[in-house]
Formats: sequence, C-alpha cells, structure tokens
Amino acid sequence: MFKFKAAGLIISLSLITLMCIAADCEVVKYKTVVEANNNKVVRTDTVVIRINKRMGEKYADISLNYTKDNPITELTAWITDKNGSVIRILKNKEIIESNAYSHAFYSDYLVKRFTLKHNDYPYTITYTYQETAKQYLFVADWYPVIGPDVPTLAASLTFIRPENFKVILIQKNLRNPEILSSSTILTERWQATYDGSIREEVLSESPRDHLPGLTIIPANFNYGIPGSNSSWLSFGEWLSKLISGLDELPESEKSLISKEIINLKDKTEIIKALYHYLQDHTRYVNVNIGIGGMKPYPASYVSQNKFGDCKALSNYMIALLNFAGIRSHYVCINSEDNPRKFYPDIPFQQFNHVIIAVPLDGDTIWLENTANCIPFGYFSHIQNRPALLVDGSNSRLVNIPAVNPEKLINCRHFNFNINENGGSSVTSRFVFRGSEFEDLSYMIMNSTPAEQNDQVHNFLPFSAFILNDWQIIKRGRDMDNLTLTASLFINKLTYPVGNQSYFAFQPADIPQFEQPAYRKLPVNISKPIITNDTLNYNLPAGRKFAEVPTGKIIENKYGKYCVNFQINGSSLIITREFRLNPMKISLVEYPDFFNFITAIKNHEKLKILFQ
Amino acid sequence: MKNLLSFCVLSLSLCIQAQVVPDEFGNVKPEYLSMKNYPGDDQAEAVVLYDFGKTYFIDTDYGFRILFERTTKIKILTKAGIKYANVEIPYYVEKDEMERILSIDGYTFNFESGSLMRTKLDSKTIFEEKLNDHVILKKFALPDVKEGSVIEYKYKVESPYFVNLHDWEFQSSIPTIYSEYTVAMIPFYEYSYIFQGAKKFDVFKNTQTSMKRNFGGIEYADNVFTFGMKNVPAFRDEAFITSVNDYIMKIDFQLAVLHHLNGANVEYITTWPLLNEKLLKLPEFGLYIKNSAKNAGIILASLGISSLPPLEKADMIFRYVKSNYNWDGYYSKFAGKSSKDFLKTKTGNTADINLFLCAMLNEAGLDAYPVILSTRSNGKIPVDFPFQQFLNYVIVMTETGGKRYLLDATESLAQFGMLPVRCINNKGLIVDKERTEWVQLIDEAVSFETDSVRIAFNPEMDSASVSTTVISSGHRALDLRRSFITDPEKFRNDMMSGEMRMKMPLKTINLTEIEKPFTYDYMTSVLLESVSDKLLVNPFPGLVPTENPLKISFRNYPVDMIYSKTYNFISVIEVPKGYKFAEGIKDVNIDNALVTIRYSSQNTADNITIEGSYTFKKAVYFPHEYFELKKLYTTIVETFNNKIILQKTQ
Repeated sequence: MFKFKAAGLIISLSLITLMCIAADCEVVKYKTVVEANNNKVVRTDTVVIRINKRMGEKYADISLNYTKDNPITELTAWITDKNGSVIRILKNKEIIESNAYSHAFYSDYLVKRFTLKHNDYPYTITYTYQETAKQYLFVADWYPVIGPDVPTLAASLTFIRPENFKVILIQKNLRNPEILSSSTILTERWQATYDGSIREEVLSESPRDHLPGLTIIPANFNYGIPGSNSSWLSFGEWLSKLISGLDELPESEKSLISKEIINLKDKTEIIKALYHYLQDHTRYVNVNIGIGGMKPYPASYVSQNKFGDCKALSNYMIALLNFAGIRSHYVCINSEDNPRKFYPDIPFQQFNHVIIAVPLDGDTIWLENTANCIPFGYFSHIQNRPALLVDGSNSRLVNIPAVNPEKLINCRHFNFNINENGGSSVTSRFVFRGSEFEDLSYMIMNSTPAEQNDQVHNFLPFSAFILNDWQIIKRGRDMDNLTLTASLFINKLTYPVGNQSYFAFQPADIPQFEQPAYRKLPVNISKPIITNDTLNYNLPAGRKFAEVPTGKIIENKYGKYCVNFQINGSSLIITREFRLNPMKISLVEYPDFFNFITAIKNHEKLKILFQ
Repeated sequence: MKNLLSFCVLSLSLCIQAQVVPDEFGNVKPEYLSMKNYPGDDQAEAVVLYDFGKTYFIDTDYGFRILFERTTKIKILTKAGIKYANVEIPYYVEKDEMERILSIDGYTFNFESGSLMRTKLDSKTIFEEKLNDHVILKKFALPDVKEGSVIEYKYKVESPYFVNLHDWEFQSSIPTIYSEYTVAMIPFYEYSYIFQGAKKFDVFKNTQTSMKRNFGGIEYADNVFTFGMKNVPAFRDEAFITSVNDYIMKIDFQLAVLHHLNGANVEYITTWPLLNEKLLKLPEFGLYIKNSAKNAGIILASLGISSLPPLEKADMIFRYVKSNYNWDGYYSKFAGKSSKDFLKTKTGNTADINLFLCAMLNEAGLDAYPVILSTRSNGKIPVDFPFQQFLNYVIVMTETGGKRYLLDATESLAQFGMLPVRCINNKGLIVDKERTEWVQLIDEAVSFETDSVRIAFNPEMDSASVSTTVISSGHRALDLRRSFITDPEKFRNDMMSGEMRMKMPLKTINLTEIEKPFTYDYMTSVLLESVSDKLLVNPFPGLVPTENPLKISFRNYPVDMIYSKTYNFISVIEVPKGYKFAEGIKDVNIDNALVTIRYSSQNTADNITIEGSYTFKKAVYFPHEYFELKKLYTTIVETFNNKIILQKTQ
C-alpha cells in the first residue's frame, strides 16, 4: 500500500447553531500555518481542546504522527484551567516516542504521545508543534478535526509561499480564502468549523468527503527524484523513473520461470502460468521505510525473500512477464471499498495500491498481485474506478471497467424440512460472487479449520441453529465463484397459532439503512447488489398450507424486488430476486429510496400459515 | 508443582525419558520436508518440530549476565500456517540497563523439483520497532515460505535482569512435538520455579558441568537442569475463560536467594510475609503511601469531612480520588511516579491511584491496607508459592464497623465496595506487616437487570409503540454505564433490533449517580407482524438474546461468567379493540443448580402481562456442566423470543 500523509479532518458555519448542548470535548481552535518555499514546507499547528466533562477525556491523550524525514520539533503543550490560568506545562520526559501503529509488518512511521489531564472541568489543553518536510508530495492535506464526534469551533489554515511557488488547491466544504498579502510573498487564509456530526453510514459516500479540508499539492516536487503534478503524464513519468531499473531477476529465478513456461505457446496461458507462479511462491508482507512508501523493493529482493507489498509484488510480476517477453504496466489505484472522491482533472498522488495491466489483443488483463486466493484476471474489488497506468511518456489515466452485473449475483438455495415440533432441518447452498466470494476464498486458504468453522457459523443468515456440516467448493483456482453448502438444524422455525402453525420465510439480504431523520450522508452504491433466492419449505406429513402471501414485484430506478410463492402439495417454493442498482442517492432523494426499502421489508414480514 | 532450583538434590519424582536431539542448525531432516500432516492433530496449520531454550550465566566485565538462547523449527502444513514465519522478539530496555539481542539467524527449507532448497534469512530484513519506552520488538519475516516449508530460527538475548529468569512456554497455538528448556544455575543465584499444565515433565535431567569456573576466588560448576515435554497439543483459545496464562503449559522462574561472595545471603522472596515486609519498604509501594501522607492530609482538610462517621468518610475519600485522578490504563502494583508528580499530573497507574487512596484513608484515621492481586488477564496466583511476578495490581481494603470493603479508585463508575471485573480473580494478599492474610476477591453486589416494556398499538394497526425502561444494578449497571459513556451512539444502535425505529430518544437516569441503579428509558416503534387475522407481538423487542453464545459442542475449560447475574422482564401488551389474547402461553419454571428460568403470563380483557426472569447462578461453570448449560441457554433464547398472538374478534 502507498503511504498517505497523516491527515486530520471538518463543516459550514450554519451548522454551528445546532450545537446547543456542550459536547464532552470540543476543539476551540485549530490553527495551522503552512510556510512553503522551494526547499521545504514548514507546518505549524496550534490546537486548543476544551474538555468539558470527564467523558471527553479520551481526547486528552494526544498522538502526533511523523517520520524521520518529516520530524516534529518545538512541541509544547499545557493545561489552562477554567479561569484561564496555566496550571501545568508538559515536560519533555512525559512525551513517549515509539513506532506508530500500522497495518504494515514494519513501518518507520513514528508517533509522539502525551497525556494532559486535570480534575476540574472545563479545562483546555493547548499544544503546538512544527513539522518540517524537505521531500513531499503534499504541501498540506489538512482536516481540522480530531474525532468524528468532536466539534471544531474555529479552524484556520494560513498558507504563505513565494509568488513563484506554484500549487494546486482542493477546497473541501470550505469557503474561498481571504488574501492577506499578494506581493512577492502570497498569504491566504481559510477558515472552517465542524459540528461533530459526520459518521460512516450504510453504503454512504466516504465521510471524509463531507468534512472541511484543504489539500495543497505542489505543481513540482522532489520526492526521491524531481517530478511534476502538471499532468497525469508528468506524474506518471516521475513514477516511471522511480521504478525504473528495479526489474532485474536473478539468473536462478530466470531458469525456474523458463521451466514454468517452456511448453506454453499461447500468450494468455503464459501470463496465467506466471501469475500462478507468483501466487504460489510469494506472500504479502508490507515493509514500509522512507521513500519505500512510493518506491518498490526491486524484483531481486522479492526473488530472494519471496515476499513483498503491492508495489514490490507488482514490480516483480512485471519482471516475470518481461522475462517472458510480455510487456505489462504498473498501475496505481485506490483500492478502498468506499474510496474518497477522485479528482481526475487534478493530477496528484490519489492512490493507495498497485496492480498491473497486461495489454493483450486490444484488451487488458488486470492482475492483483497481493492475494494468493483470487482468480487470474479478477478485478471485482477494484472495478469501475480511475487508475494511473505508468508507462513513461505514455503514462495516462485509465478506467478499470465496471464488472458485468452477472458476475456479482449471489444465489442462495434453502431447503427446509419442518418437523412436528416446530424445528426444521435445513440444507442450504450458496453460490457467491463478488466480495463474499473474495472473503470466503481468503478464508479457506488462510484460516485454520477452527477459524473457518466460526466464520461459516457467523456467515450463515440464521440466528439460533446448530451447524451440522458445511463445505466450500471452488471448482478451480481461476473460477470467479464458489459454492458453500451447509446443513443445519433450527430448533424453532414454526409457532403454533390456534390449531394452526405459522412461520416467517427466510428474509432477503437487505442492508439496514438508517431512518431518513437520522441519515446524514448520501448513498453511494458502487456496484450492483443482487441476490437470487430459492426457498423450499416442506411441511410434516399430513399438513397443508392454509395461507400464503401473494407474489409481489416492486421495481423502480433504485432496484427491484420480486417474490413468487408456489404451493406444490405440502411443499412451498418461494423464488425471490433482490437488486439494488449502482447509483448515488442524494439526501433529498433518500426518503423516497427508504420508502422503497421499507415497502420490501413490509412484504418480507408476511407469514405463512399451515395446518 | 513448585520447586526450588539450587544445588540441593531434587526430591521430586520425575519421569525421565530420552531427550530429542535437534538438527544441526541450517540442516533439515528429509522426513520433516516430506511431512504432509501432523498425525496428532489433523487441524494443525503448522507444527513446532522442536523448540529448544537455554539460559545460562556468563561472567563479563560488568559482572554476571544472563544469556538466553532459543532455537525453533516449525513445519508449515497449510497456507494458514505461513503466519508463523513472521516472527517478533520483544526485549526490555531501561535508561541504564537493557537487554540486548546478540544474534538472529534463520533458514527456510523447501523441497522443490527433487532438490532441497535452503534460503537464509537476510539480516537486512530484520527490523526494530519501538513499542514504548521499555519494550522494543525485533521483527523478521523468514524468506521463501510456503505450504510445506520448514522454517528454523535462533536468537540470543543478553540480560542484566536476574529477578526474572526467562520463562518457558512448552505450548503454543499449534502443536509441539518437542519442547525443551535448559537452565544452567550458578551458586550465587537461587531460583524457584513453578510448572503448570501437566503433572510431570516428560524429560528431566540434572547434571553438573565438568568444567569448573571461578568467580571471586570461588570455584564452581554449573548445575544444569533440563525440562522437556513431548507431543504437546495446541492450545486453542476458547471463549469465556479467564486467561490463557491459567491453562497453558509453562514453567516460570523467580529469584529466591542471592548468595554474596562474603557469605551473606539476600533472601528475595521466599514467603508471603517477607514479600509484605519488602513491599512496605519500597519507595514505589509502602514509602509511596508514607510520602503521600502530607498531601493527603492537606486535601482531607479541604474536604471538611473529619466529623463524618467512618464509613461515610471512607466513601467521601473514595469518591474524591475517583473523580479527581485519572487512570492511565496501566496495571501495576508499583507506583509509576512520585506522589508529588501524581498529584500534579492527576493521572497514574493503578498503584499511583490506589496507594494514594490508601494514604488518604490512613490519614483520615481509617484502617486501610493495600491488597495486591493478579488480574483476570494475568492469571491465577499460586497462593501456596510466593511469586511476586504473578501479582500485577493493587487495590485497597478498608475495615470499618467490623466490615471489610475492597476499593479500586481507578474505576470511576464503580460503587464503594465494588471491584471492577478485572480484579475479580480468586484472592488478593493484604499487605500488612502484622499479618499474612488473603482476602477473597468476590463481587458482593447483586447484579441484575430489569426490563419493563409497555406495548400499545396505533389506531391504524400498522405499528406499535414500545416504551421500555431498563433498571440495572451491580456489575450489570457498571457494564451498561461504561458502554453508554464510551459510545452513546453504539449503545443506542445496539438496542435496536430488526425493524425497530426510535420514536423518542433514550433518557438516562443516574448515569453518574453510581450508588443508585442505572436506569434508562426510550420509546421505539415496531411494524406489526400478522398472520391471517392474528397479530404476532414480540413482548421483549431488542432485549433478549436471539442466539445462544455457547456454540461449541465440547468444552475443555471452565466457562467463566465472571459474576452471577439475574435478568427480569415484564411486558404489558395493551390489547387493541377488536382483538383478544389468542393463545395460552406455556409457563416455564426451571430451577436447578445452574440456572433459574421462569416465564408466565396473565391476561385480562385489556392487557396481557408477560413476566419472566433468568439467573445464571454461578460465576464459573465446570466443563462437565457445559452441555447442560448450553441446553438451558437454548431454552432461554426460545422462551423469551416467543411471540404473543392476538386474535381478531370480529
């Protein structure tokens, strides 16, 4: 994964009036001054946090991330009591320095931590520090927010730079700056507030896009080597240079690969064989040191150790293909499920992952090189988004295509054999595609049998049951779907009502959207959600159905719900399709969308009666 | 099993078997490479082929140092086992003294295309990560690891810390074919050890080295002890246990006596009374209490509580300490800072806070003593053997009116006399020079939750309003208060199940008045469910468990519910016009040694009242009770999720 500069976060002034109850903690002031010239960027932050109640005290534990190359200096901090008197100043020995928590196996990110607490509320903590960067891809990526539930009452960023220091500015939920001086030294100031209300919601846009923030990108930079953000071409050229010369393979490796592909003539078969070779012989280990956030370890390193991160493994895969005479390209993307907004017209480092593209007969094979469990050419998890293809003077922004919706359909088949006591044995068969396929593929390859059993138990859509047996069938490593079969017993499926009994049919898999009154963020469904179900209910001998709901079709621009009920003697077959279309839904439209979901759920609540 | 390692002859009956001999480092036996599974455990993702540890003393320019060497060889059986090739070695540092990792070496062996492939660990891929001011991790990922690989690594650590000789775990999350630990003792340090997880060693040897050494004119030989265990099963964590430390097979060491060259002996810890005596003299324990006295007195004077009866006085002091000082989250039996610094920073570890509480109580003329204990996560205390390293926490006991109260001022939401769950672990030692006495760490507070529900249908008969009041006490109240304070939003969301909608926001009562029951009420709306002409009503929406958390069919370890608890429920359903109660609900009345479950209904023309309760009577259930407990839990889930049926009358 790429290194993102640690960023803070934000809202509009009009929302401030909503804060009628004092928060447990609030940021009274978040003042940032960024001074840039062609040699370095110096950022000075002064943050004043008011702790109003003991419940807000988790924010009195302060962490500041930095790196050896971007050190933090002049850190001072103190507590002021409610009368405004300084009652305690942080001592150097109270600052704990350590490696920062990271998902990487090893990262050289560092953190300074300290705690300032008092016992008489409210009190304020003020801390100020300077961070200096001589090599950078961002001048600032500023979000004046310390926690999603903490309001920021007043934030400002003052940006001072020589007239000839060219930058690109991305303002997010901010008004235009005041120009404080415009002579040879330009000084601008942005102001922001945040009401503490933004949270991740069900299928929401990235919360970060709804906070106030300012990203300042240098037009030109020197990060390892000089580069430019003037176009995607120039940014791609910089990356090309950064990764050039790293694709040398040792002779021993070359001879091994030769054996792998010696009998293969078809180009696709060769690519596939080398991809399998990569999957079978390497593992994902992320070591992130210095410019290693952007520059991969060389192919020889991966060849020796048989591990690497996305950059190293992709670079190694390129080297393998190169040896086989097949040209491929390093491709940067953002792999998050719910990525931040992408700015296609503003070239800069907006990525966190690397894959490769192999052009073939006018088409492209996209290869994800960090997962040993996914099929050759599979790209559902990163579908339908822009990416930067790195190819020297031919570098360009490309689009990873949207996956055919057929490739995302999940099918579920349940067969219930109900007994006289109200229990039911169930055999179920699931055919998974898309993200469930990825999760289960990873699980069967990388989890222990005990972990797998727990995960399958949690995966099954029943609440009280005994899992008797299960099996996952993946027909070949390059299949993009798998089948989970499970047999189980539900203690209580049917309930008596008079001399009859009823049961609820197995509900559709529908996300639990927030009520409109509580929803804060627009909906973003990035790929279709499709589930096709077949439910087969068999009554005990001598029983027959007394009342069964009627079929229903609800279809509109948001999606489709279609359910049919068919009685066949003592069996009932329910077929159901549920689909949510890929789309963005604004907050204005949200109540209408919510009504669509509610209408479906109302139908799903109907019961089946038998006697 | 407790023992003393010295030059005495061991009087224990020990099983002696042949030792396993390791491969020469950098080599691998062909059978390890061809191994496809481990016959003793078909679920194993990897197996420790052998794990050898060795501790010995070396004489340096700075005096003795302890060297610890470890050599481990692991067979990777499946891809899930590859994680064992990413290795972390923690070591301890202080300002003046520190442990040092002297060497790390490793290999991966594969058998490919008919030949043995050996890949050496590249020293450039060994990293150092600082966790905090005292602990650093050496990290490395062994190269070229895949399903079928055999990995091998060894390292050597030099330590100046004699008090805690390196402990040894014979067991891990994967099975171990052979694990052996050797300690070479010298006459100057005498250690005690405790062994848990098995009745005897598979291999035990005690020899003396033939080569003599000399220190300060004294000639001596090393007294070498070897402990070995064979075919150790994997320790797979289970839910509802106190701590892995209580069960895993291991041997722990503690310095008992230091023999000086001049013939003087320094007894470290050999008895609990000696431990007490020592603690009371330590600046970070007994002297900390003494040194806090002056400031405690000044604070007491400002509180103006001198005329209160003793119990009220103690309560006021406890409240004062809880509300004025913050716990930094660290467990310790020793103060981490001076009393002066603690008062200035208002923050401290468990000892800073509780020893200061003890000082305040003493200054107020009350009988108060520190009580040292082992937290649940730290494991049980071997009460019959004084290992001070097993004690990691300190609380306070005060005695007034002939009654004892255990206090922990780090838990701001706990009532006077209530211990947080982390401390409820068998017993603690009263630190008092006059006596050696253990006190039971039990929860005397009654933990219950009572949920009262009123369900009324709206005139359109498409939904119902559900008013809920939850009253809780004891540990249940503490748990709920803490959850609410930590994340009120999550707390609200967790209450909502299925298609429930919040109608009126949640209101809490006595959130911070902790001596009173914690109460909250809220109103939700639920969509109605119907079948034919009947309404189906869930009497306790979102309040009862919908799933049995006891999932596995067999249990190896006790089920630890921490404290006994009772849940009471009452739901009043207003029968809407045109409907009547349709079904007689079967009463449930179970009362046995494990649980009580009661469920009954009453109905009038206007209302149906469902009442029920269930109690887990024991804090800890034995493995042989598991099956019955699981069955009873299923009964609870089924009973309390029963729906009430209302029949249309017209």
